[in-house]
Amino acid sequence: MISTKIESRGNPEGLSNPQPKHEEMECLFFGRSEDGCQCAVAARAVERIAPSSEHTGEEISLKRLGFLEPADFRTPRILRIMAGEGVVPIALRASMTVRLVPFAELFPLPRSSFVSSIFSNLISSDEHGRALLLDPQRLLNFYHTHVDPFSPAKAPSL
Amino acid sequence: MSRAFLPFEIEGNAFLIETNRVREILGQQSLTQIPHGSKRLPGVFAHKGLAIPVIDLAAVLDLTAQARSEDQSKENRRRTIVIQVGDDVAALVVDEVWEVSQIPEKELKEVRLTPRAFAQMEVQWSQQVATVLDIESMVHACMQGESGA
Repeated sequence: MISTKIESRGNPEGLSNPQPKHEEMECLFFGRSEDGCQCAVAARAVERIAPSSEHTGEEISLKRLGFLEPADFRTPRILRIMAGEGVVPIALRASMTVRLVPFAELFPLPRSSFVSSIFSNLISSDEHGRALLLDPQRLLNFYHTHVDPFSPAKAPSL
Repeated sequence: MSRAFLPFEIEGNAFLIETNRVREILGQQSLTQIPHGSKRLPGVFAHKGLAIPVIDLAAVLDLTAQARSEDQSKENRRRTIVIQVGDDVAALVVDEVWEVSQIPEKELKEVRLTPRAFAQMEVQWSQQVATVLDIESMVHACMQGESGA
């Protein structure tokens, strides 16, 4: 089970009740945009990574999220992201990496209509490059509205 | 009675914005493009705990076609003006920024010579006519008027 990790670095200031010095969140990174930015999701929101045999064609593609599709013909794995009671499947041909992201590297994106609402934070680190962190709940809303053919939101009105 | 303005240049055009909107002036920043973004809002950069959206004034005011190629124009955007309008923080990428100017109220004229979007007033400044931008309307239009995915 993946969760937030809090690591104390001792008590260098001699305080009686030192505060944690380092807070991190485990994130899964995948995909790449034209300017080299990756997509990321909190690892605790990942239900599982399903094999290509579970591919149904109803997954969100990387391209739909605004990222490049790798130019190969591998059948995609399915990254299943949990949001409340729902699950959003993303078809991935790209490789995935996991790393701990200090909260200091998370920069909240403005809540403006120009920023796709599916992203909550810019992850910025000189060492590892940049990424956009997905907001699972907003991703689920996006999936229901734009992709999921069985969503009530897409049902024709009577 | 005078007001303080920050003068800057973009594609050879002079503009002024009131200094009370300006938080900081930075150098060129490394942008992260937002998927499905636009030329007017090419991306964000991380600064002091925020991802600050960048407004490309040349695209907003339709100035790029007049001069160099798009790549050359991007290279010339050497200054980044961080502004705050209400709760919105944004950044303008511009070519050059000059020292703050105190301009007497009586020198601020109605827009006649430089009619363009978001022009609020104009003023004779440093041997040219500079446009005073209605920064509040512009930021509002850019931040709320664009639609993402």
